[in-house]
Amino acid sequence: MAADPKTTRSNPAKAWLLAFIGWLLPGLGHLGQGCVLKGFLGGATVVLAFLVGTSLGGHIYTFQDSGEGLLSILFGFCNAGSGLLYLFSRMSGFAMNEQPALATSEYGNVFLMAAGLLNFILALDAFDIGAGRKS
Amino acid sequence: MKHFLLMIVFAAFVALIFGIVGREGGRERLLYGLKIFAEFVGVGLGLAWMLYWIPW
Repeated sequence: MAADPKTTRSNPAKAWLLAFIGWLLPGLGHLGQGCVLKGFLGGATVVLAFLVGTSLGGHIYTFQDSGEGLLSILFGFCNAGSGLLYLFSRMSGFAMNEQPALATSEYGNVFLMAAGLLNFILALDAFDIGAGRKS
Repeated sequence: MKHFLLMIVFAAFVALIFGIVGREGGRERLLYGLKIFAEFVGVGLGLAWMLYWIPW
């Protein structure tokens, strides 16, 4: 379906809101626009990736993780993409401690970062749909 | 074997999201997702094979 330029210009606030909601709760940005399958599949994938990451012993990076130096800003940004899952971890302390004794902890870190980045992609997609650029 | 399985799971997650947002239409999405999945696994195996022969 071709995008309507008028819609693109007239609804920027709605698009930003949907992107924010999509970031906060993975998949909700799509569900709010009637893209049910996209929303459920996308959201479930992000949540599952996050859970696999934590079960493998991965941990959430803060933006000022002293052990990683400047890279922690990048890692923290990736983790922050998980939205509410990230905020919950930061507030509750869940998956905040590094577990170097576990052989799979590095894999877990990668899964957690990938979950955040994938959710950023989903949120951007929700923005595009909300702005009328995609259907 | 666990490393390989984790790579498969990782590739499946990424392929699913890319398939969802990268194409329009059910068939196109499925094909694109499968392509991404195959590329991830193929490149992963290729890199692992290359690195195996490097002695350090």
